[in-house]
Amino acid sequence: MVEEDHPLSRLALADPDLAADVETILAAATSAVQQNDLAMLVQETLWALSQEIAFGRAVGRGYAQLLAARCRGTGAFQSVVRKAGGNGPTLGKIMATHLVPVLLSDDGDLLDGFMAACQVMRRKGTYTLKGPLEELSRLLEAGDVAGGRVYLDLLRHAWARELSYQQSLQMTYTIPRAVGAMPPLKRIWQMSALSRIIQIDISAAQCFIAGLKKGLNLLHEGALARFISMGLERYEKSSTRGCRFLSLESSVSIETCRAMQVAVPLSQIQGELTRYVRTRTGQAIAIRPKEAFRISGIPSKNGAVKVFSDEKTLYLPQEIDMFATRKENQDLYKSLVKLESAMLEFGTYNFDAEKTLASSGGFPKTRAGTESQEAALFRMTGNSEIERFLHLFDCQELAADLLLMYEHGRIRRCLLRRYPGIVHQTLPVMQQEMLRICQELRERHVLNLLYAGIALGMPPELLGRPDPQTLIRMRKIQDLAETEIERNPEVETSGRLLVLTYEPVVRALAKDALSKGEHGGRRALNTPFGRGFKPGFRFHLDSRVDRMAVSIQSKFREKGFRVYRTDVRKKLTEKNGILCPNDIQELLLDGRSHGASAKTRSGGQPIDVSWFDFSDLCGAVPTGDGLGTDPYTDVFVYHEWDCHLGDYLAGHVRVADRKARGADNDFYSATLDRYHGLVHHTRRAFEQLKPEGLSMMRPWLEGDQFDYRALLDFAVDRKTGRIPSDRLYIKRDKRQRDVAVLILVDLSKSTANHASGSSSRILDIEKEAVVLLSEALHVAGDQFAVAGFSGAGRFGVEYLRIKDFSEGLDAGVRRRINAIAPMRSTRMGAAIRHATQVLGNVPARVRVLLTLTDGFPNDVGYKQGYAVADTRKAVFEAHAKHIYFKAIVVNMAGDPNLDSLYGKFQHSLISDIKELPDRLLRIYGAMTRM
Amino acid sequence: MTSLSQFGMDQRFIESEPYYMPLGNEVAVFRAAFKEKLPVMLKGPTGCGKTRFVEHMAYRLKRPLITIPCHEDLFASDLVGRYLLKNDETIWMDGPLTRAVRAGAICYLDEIVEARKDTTVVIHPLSDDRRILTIDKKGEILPAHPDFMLVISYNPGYQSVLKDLKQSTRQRFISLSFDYAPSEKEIQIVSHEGGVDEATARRLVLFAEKVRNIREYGLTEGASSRLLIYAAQLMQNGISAKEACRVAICLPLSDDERLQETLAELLGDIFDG
Repeated sequence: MVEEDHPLSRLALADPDLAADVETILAAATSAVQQNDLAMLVQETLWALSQEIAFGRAVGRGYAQLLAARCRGTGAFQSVVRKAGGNGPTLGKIMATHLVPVLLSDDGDLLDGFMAACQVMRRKGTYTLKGPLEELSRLLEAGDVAGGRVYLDLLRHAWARELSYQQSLQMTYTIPRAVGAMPPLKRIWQMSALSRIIQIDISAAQCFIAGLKKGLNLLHEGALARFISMGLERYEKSSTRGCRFLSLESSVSIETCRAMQVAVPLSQIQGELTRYVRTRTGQAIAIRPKEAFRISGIPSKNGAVKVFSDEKTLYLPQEIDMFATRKENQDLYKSLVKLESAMLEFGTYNFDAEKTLASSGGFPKTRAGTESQEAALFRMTGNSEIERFLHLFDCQELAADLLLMYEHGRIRRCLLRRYPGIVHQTLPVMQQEMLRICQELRERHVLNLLYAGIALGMPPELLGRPDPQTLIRMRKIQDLAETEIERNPEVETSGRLLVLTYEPVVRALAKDALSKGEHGGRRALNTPFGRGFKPGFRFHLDSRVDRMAVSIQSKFREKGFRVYRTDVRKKLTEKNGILCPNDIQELLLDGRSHGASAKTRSGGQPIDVSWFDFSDLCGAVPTGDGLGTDPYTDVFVYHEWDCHLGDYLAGHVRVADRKARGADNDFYSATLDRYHGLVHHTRRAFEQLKPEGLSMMRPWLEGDQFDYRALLDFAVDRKTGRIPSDRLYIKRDKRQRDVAVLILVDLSKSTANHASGSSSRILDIEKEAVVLLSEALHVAGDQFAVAGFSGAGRFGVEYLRIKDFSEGLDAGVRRRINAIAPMRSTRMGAAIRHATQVLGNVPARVRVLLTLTDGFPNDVGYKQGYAVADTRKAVFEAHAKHIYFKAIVVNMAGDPNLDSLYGKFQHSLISDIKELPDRLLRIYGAMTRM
Repeated sequence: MTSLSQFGMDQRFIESEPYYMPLGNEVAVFRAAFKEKLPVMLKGPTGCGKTRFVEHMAYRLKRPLITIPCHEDLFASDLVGRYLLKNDETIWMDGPLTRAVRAGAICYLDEIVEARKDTTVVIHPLSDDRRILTIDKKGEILPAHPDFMLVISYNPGYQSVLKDLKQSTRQRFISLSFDYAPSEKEIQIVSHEGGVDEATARRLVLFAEKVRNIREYGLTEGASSRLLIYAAQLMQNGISAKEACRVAICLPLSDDERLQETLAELLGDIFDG
């Protein structure tokens, strides 16, 4: 509350809300605000409030911000705002709002630029100021003062021209929007380019803004300047041609831009890289852009990490334009992916702190004091084992840098053994960059030199000249690293090396003048292209498994057994989070074979684990949520396989079977139009599947007619004394193709997601595939039905009949296909059981159940291992009833668990959903060829 | 041996021991099945050594081997035999199966599911305890030679559901399942068969493992050991490692260009430098 004699009390009387705001802003000030300043604030604000409330509030807040930041510009603020306010409260409010960030930036040129731009713009009218200045404030609040200066120049040039009211009004929208869309790292030169064009012609500038969206934004500074020169040259000759060129509408301009484009955005190469990583590691690993990071000629001096990974993801910069050619930049992406995926492949994230400690035999100095190192380590917590281990060191940043260095060295050695090509391709690039960091950027401190030696195999003398004693120390460390890694290239060796060399490195750094940072700190390691550990050391994404591993380990500890956390983790991941007594036995035996067991027992004897409480490790027993049922639907009850129990739960799931509703839209016909070519093609292909009633076979062993061509051969063979063939007949065979297929579509919520790189939802593409397959099956004459399924809980599984076997492909069916929409979750087992039941009643020689799904089953109390086991069981049940099962899994990366879900040959994976319509037809065709 | 030569079986003996590296107890099982006159079914992906295994066993058991690749136009009479006209006379000509039954050879029907349905009528009485071959046209019932053995193979991955093996056929055979050898053994196999050193074989096998990681694009089976051996053989003849792998492994596997790019990248990783 404001006291009565306080200067703000007057303001509180006039506008209590504003006074409270001002007080909050001032409370954040580092030092107390002087009384006379406050008095001025109140006086000016009251004056402005008397003009208009919004103006007054802008002034009050503006003063408060300036005073709180102890900005010297209050005088300038006062005079400018007074003058502007004199011209009307609207202008006053704009100035009072947007001058503040300019003054807070404390940059004389910026202020001059601001005043000049405002003056020019005001000549066209006050309406021109609001939008453009809001963008300016955004830039300055993001700390881009240099960008702000260039932007103000741009505004000044733009409104200095002769403009019609319409043009001027349009620019108040287009310019701020275009600048807002520019990537921060390219903003300055893109704004300069825009400014250059705007000085020549306004409509050319509009074209350029359009071109930026289409691909000019990928050009490097010099290339963009050259492109603009070419565009302006054309513009001088013909404004239409110039405009088409600048807006990337002509094929010449698109070609030119493509040729000049050297920057490679990750989005362009992501698919290729993902495929590579998947093939190399065999795991579903994603590649994600690291927002607003770019590798360019200017490496970050502060050692910001730009490239890192965790168990499941590689993070890369959004764009690379380090080199002069596109190919080199693309190759850099590939190199980074190859090196980072090696961290996953060679087990960096399987680091185990306790194993390392055990193999290192303790280390000289820890934060633990008198506590035993092991006990200290056990007490430590962290996002990962690596972080837990680093906590044992005085300076964790240094320890992390060293661990990273040894890891990169170890991985280089592992790569050399297994993938010599990768080392061959990537090492020169990495070495060149390290050379540049050390020489051009003068970052020649000991840590960088050590990194160059150990991780990149470069002699330290090549990069800098440390004093002879430091050099000897460095060589010793390097030699030790080489021998240790050679001896045992496991991840624990890096940890061991860190333990062994931490103290010597600290001493070497203390002696090295170049290693001192600006504020007495230490200079951080600069790795080539900013490769490093993931910030926060969060390498494992499944924290549930982590928590379970910790709890299991501590239970063992209490009983005097030692097991390693990473081993428990691995076992838990393998077994989908559920351990049985055998697994516990194995873990204990493993621990013992590592020589790590605290208790010595006779080898090979099973260990009694009856004390272990397994109930913690099993998932909760699934419970249903008892949904009511619709009286118009048929309800079926099915059993479900409980893998924890090893038995069926009788009458556990309720499936409501009802006819789907229809909708009047043109999805069906639009799909047929869109895939006109494919429809035509597959109709023909499927017609061949269709038996033609009687098929003629010739030349045949028996039959009802002679084959005259064979008879001629027969006569000739006899004349020449050869033994003639006895295949002399034509046989007409009645071919039967008696196939019934049920297409079961997963309607879970996730199918509402958009397919990557497409505006369509996953379900829409699935629907398109269903439309095309229905048409094809109609032609082939196979009996077929279409159904969808979804559900919520064990009492709420829904089975929606879209087309029954008895129905033709009529308007009603089309309307129901049109209406298919995403619903809830996926209780797959029950849906398969019901579909099996439906299909079992169809008289056909061959019955096929085809499911179309976008991932793993998931429902209330129906997760992971439990869901997989039940679904697999349902598939077996279908097999037992002579029903062929095939799952088409779309829009996910390959996953070895799919094999355990459906069986090795019973599923097809289509990662790129856009291929589904075409692939589905081919899979079905191949499956049922006669 | 005279009785064998009368059936034209001389050339059906395997002269020198075909190289085969056992991966489990398949040799012992096969031998026992032979002793007990039980028919055998071999299951497994293409190029993993099924045919080689049969050849190896035929050599070890010292029996002639008749291999019949099955196809859509293969009739029962193609297996059993038929009457033919020779200079105005009809003569009976035994089919390969009949010759094997008479002579006590091992008869290997490769990819049995591809054959026409009427062949099963012939196989069934041969593959249970009756061990007889009925030759309808001659009205002859031929009991099998004590050493006759029927072996069939089939690849569960790629057939059409319309062509699956019927339970009545399946349940007459002892079944041996084959898969690609574990890497250390596969290295030895490739090194031996392809005539390359162990380091090169190791790289080839590593590459094959990577290819087997791809489960899309219909590559359910991955690169077979046979393809690896082809690549090794090309390398023996002066073709560079990358090129040999490209033509012997990558190109036969898939026509997808993007997949080829990825495989080329991996080839570079493994074989450059």
